[in-house]
Formats: sequence, C-alpha cells, structure tokens
Amino acid sequence: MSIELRLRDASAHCPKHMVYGPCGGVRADDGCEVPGLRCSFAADPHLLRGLAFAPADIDPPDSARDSGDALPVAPRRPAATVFAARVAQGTVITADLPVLAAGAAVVSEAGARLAELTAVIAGEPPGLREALSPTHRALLLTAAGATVIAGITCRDRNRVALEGELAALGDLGAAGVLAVTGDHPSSTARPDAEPVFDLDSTRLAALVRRTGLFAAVVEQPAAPAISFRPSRLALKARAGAELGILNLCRDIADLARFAHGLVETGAAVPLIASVPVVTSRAAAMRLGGLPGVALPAEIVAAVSTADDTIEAGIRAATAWAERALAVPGVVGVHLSAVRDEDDTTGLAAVDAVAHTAARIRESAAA
Amino acid sequence: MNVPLAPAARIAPRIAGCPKAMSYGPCGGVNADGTCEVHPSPCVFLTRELPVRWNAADDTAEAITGSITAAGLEIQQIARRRPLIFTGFPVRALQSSAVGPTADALAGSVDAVLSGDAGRSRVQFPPSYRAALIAATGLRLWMGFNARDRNRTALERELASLAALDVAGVHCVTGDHTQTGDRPDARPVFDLESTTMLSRARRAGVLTSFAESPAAPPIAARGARVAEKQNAGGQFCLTQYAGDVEEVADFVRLCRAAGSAVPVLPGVPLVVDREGAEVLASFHAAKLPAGFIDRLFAARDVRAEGIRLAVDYGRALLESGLMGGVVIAGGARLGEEAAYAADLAVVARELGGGS
Repeated sequence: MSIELRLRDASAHCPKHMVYGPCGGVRADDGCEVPGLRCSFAADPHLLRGLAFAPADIDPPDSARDSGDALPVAPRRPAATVFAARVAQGTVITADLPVLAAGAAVVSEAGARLAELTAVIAGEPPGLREALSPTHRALLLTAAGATVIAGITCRDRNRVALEGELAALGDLGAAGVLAVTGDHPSSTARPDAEPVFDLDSTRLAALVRRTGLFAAVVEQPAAPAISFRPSRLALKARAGAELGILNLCRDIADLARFAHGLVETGAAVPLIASVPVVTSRAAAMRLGGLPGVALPAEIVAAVSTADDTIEAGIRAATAWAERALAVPGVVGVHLSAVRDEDDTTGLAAVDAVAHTAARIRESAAA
Repeated sequence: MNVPLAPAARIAPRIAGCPKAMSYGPCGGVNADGTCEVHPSPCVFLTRELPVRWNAADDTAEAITGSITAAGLEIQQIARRRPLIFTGFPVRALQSSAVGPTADALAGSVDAVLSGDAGRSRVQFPPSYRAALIAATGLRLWMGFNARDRNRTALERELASLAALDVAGVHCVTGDHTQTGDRPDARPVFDLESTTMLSRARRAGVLTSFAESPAAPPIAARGARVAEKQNAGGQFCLTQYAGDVEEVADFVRLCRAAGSAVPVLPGVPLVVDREGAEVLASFHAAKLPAGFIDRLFAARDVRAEGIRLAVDYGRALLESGLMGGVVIAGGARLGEEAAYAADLAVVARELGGGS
C-alpha cells in the first residue's frame, strides 16, 4: 500500500479523523486517548514522514465562492501585528484563563487582573463544563483591557462554525487563535457530546492565518512518536502556525531536546514553554502522583514542603521559567495555573498567575 | 469504527436512516412527495407512529428555573396586549459594519428581530457574537439557532452567552442538512435537534420558539408535533410560509385540537424584487398565498406591490384572531439589505409593530 493510502487508512481509523496526526493524546505505549484503541499514526515514523500540508484542504468549495460568502482572506489585523512583534522581541508571557464559572462578571474581572500579560489564552479545556461562548469571553476580556488569544478546538464545531468563530474573533479585535484539535469528548467533562472533528489543529491553524489572526499551536514533546514531534510542529508552521506552545515537560532536558530537534527540521518556529503555577499542597500532591502528568519534581517538592505555599509556588514557577527561557529558541512562557478546589471562581489562581508574571518580568529586567 | 463512548442520555432512539440523526422527526424538510430534503428516498418518519412523544427523561438536567431575560419579559408583556410583530434582520454575513444601518431602519417599528440562517451563506458570525452586535443597537433579538454545525457543548455555551447578552428569545430549529446550501463540505453535526434544544434554551433563561412547516407531509400530524415541542419547552411556533390565511388558520386549529396552546406566528413574505422571489421559491416546504408571485410579477412597481401584498396578507392573518403575531421576512438583494430592512419596517409599522 502506498504511503498516501496508508495515511488515509490511519485517518479513517482515528476517532478524531485526524489528517495531520498523531495528536498529543498518544500514551507512552502508543495507546489512543480513547480507551481501548491504539494510535493509528504513532506506530510508524516512516509513514509520518509522508505527511505534507496541502493548502487545498481548507479551500471552500466552488459553491461558497459562487455565492460570494466564502470566508474572506484578510490581511494581518492590528492586534495580531502587536502580538507578533512581542514574539519577535522574545518577551512573551501568556496564561490560561483559570476561570471555570459561566459568569460574565468573573471573566471581566479576570481580564482586568491579567491585562499586563502579553496575552490571555482563553480556551475550552477538557475539564470545562458550564462556560460562556468563545466570542463572548473574548469580548469581555478585550473590553477589560486584556489581549486575547482564543483557544479553539475542533471537538465541538464543524468547519462552517469554526470559520464563523474565526471571522468573529478577528472582527472583535482578538490578537490570535491557539488552534488545537482538542481531546475526544470521552476524556472530557462532556462525554455525551458528539465528537465533531471536521478539521484538525493543522488545518485550523491554516484557516486562522487566512483570517488575518496570529496563529499559535500546541505540541506535546513527550508524546509518541517523540522523534517526530519537532517535524509535526514544522508541518504546522508550513500550514501557517507562527508559534508553538509546548505542553508541560517534566524536565528542562525534554524541552531542550525538542528545541534542538526543531532546529534540525530547518523550521524557525518560536517556542513557548508551559510553566505550572501550583499554589497548594493538595494540588501538588494530587498532580504529582498522577501518571502521565509531567509536573516538574522541583515544583512539587517546593510546594509540598513550604509553609507559605502560594509564595513557594510562585517562586518555583519563576525559577522554572528562567531555566526554560535560557533554552535557545524559547521566546516566552505560558503560565498554567492549577486551581484549588476551594477557589470556586478561579480568581485566586488568576492572582497567582499575575504575580508570577510580574516576578518573571522583574527577573528578566534585572 | 467503534469508538467507545459514555452511555447516551437520550431515551427516544435516533431513527436509522435519517440524515440528521433525528429522534423527534419528521423535520420540515420533507418534500411534498414524502421524500427527504437530501435523499431521493422517503422520509423514514412517515412510516412510523407519530407524533414521537417528548420524553422528559431526555432533559437530563435540573428543572427549568423560570428566570427570563429582561428583553424576554418585555416581549411577554407586549404579547399580553396585542399580536407580536417580528421581522427578519437582513445583513450581509460576516460584516459587523452592516448591523448598524439595518438596525437603524428597523428601530421603533418591530417588537423583535429574528436573525437566522441562510443557505447561500452558511458561514455566519456565531449566535452570541451576533447577539452582542445587535444588542448594542437597542433592538430586541430573537436569535435563530440550529443544530447543524455545533454539538451540545458548543450550543449550551452559546445559550449561556445569549441569556447573558439579554436576548429575548431563541428560535430552535434542527437546521437544513449541510448537503443543502453553499457548504456541502462541512460535516453535519446534529448532536441535538430542535426538540432537545428547546428544553436547554428554556433552562438558560430565554424565551423559546420552534419552527413548523404546515405544508410539509405529514400535514395532518404537524399539529400533534407542535404539542410535543410545547411539552419539550417550546413557547412560540414560528411557521414556514403556509399558504392562504384559511390554510394557516387550519394549521392553528390542528394545533389546538392536538392540545397545544402555543401562540402561532406565521411567516409573512415580503418580496420587493425578482431576486427576492427566487430566494423565496428556493425555501423548502414554503407555500405562498395563491396568486402571490403572479401579482408581484404583473405589477409595474414590484416593490410597492410587494409591500402592499405583505401588509394585506399580514392584516388578514391577524384579523383571523387566531395568530399570536407574524414574522415578516424574505430575501434581500446582495448589498441592499438596509433598504430592504426599511421596507420590512414599513410593513411592520402598518401591522402595529413597535407600538
């Protein structure tokens, strides 16, 4: 069977219909994130080298062009230009929005407290249940003074809905989109939802660029096929991605290995390293003990033994960020707060993130 | 391929062979000869016992809270004293700058605007972003909402935002299949459908409506279907164009006989040019009043005649005393949406809207 046919076969067997697989959900034993399945892409690195991005994959059909209502190809938007300049300067600090509530007031308050960040990445993580819509949250955050990168997954919307989201995000002044495939619903808080996966992260990133927004993507350095991961980011860059956010690494060496591998692909994609902000002993113990969660041991140890766990968590995150920023190719950090169970609004986590960001800026300026 | 999933909460089974995977069919896309809107084969619901009964167990969450948006309360107050006058909200897709001129044309003449779907431009701003843009103009919004492009997770988030943005009501339709319209390449989602969206919209705190196609087979069973949608949480029925006043009245009587008390707001077509007539003719299961197109095309001034026809038809519908109001809509020529909105406003005012 030709490589092209085998890739099509892998796609047909993928529960997320990935064309540009494998996603970041592959387990260490090549198992799929959907229990009981094996990843149809990860097993054969030779096969993966046959992947090449085809821009026609995201072209609207003739019928849409004839009707005059195809998603317009837009020039770079002002907010995207500003964010791209910060990436070029190498001074990026982004953070997740650790707000799980569906209240508009809390989202606005979080936006005001995170206005100093390069951007807030407001996504739809798998643990999220009740929430406002992506464009509504982006509107609230932007109005509160924050720069917004909307995290959009391919899990819940088909390509028509995704194109509408991108057009709206560009229109309302978001800087960009973090294009992710998203976890299969079976491993989210909404397991009963229909898995859509009309597109995947690579094709979504290409659409994001066409819309004039800044296109960021995620890569998972520790997931099989590990040796292919830098090439996968390079592939996404050919599709349009301008920035790669790396998922949590247990060790700086993993990060450095990925960055080195990326240089070898010849693709000059700037990288952002994820930094966990853990501020409670319970969270450190809970996450430190979970298999597959790549929480750095230093951070777990620092928070587990401290009296002032918030200060210890901020200090440990800052130290980790400094080490990550020293890796060639890393232009910034992405702060990912682990919310306490008693922090019902998420605003305590927002504050921990804001304090950590300030500390990192001070240390970079010194 | 077998993907193991958590057990589905829905009790009424999905019917094999329905391209929209519906449980509570048939949808309004059944052709006059009983075939499906996307298949030459007969609609699979037509051979079943109808209506499919609403199963409250499908509504997995807690009871409906009873809270309603401020705009929704205003609509309820108007509905207590006179028929409701809604119009469409004609704008070019994906153009926020087009919202202002259309809103200006309609302000003061309508009770709410219905912002819907369009086959020739499937890609639209998401419902909540359209709501934010239209809310800023001060108009009350009745938001069109379909199950074609988003799964329940995305739809529920849109609903939460629609309520927070003070939308008056949400018009829950299953939606045309992706095989109709300008984007057949998109994956049809249909995780929910009209009936299962109604209860969710009610829980979110907005008024709800649903569509019915009185002229689509099985015509005799459409009234009972309305009653089931009411049981699911539907509060208003906005019909597809359904022919002469007496035909619409028969449909309302059919609903009442089936035990449904929901106010029915039939569609009043407003056509001001030949392109608009063509758009109207393309609607599935649309049935225009007798002689409508002939009178229009015979007129020297198509626009004036179109307005006159809409006013006469709307007035006759309201004078029957059976209608909860009307929805005035139709097709606007590309680039002339604001001018068309001004014509909608003329008809709406004539019928008592905005008073």
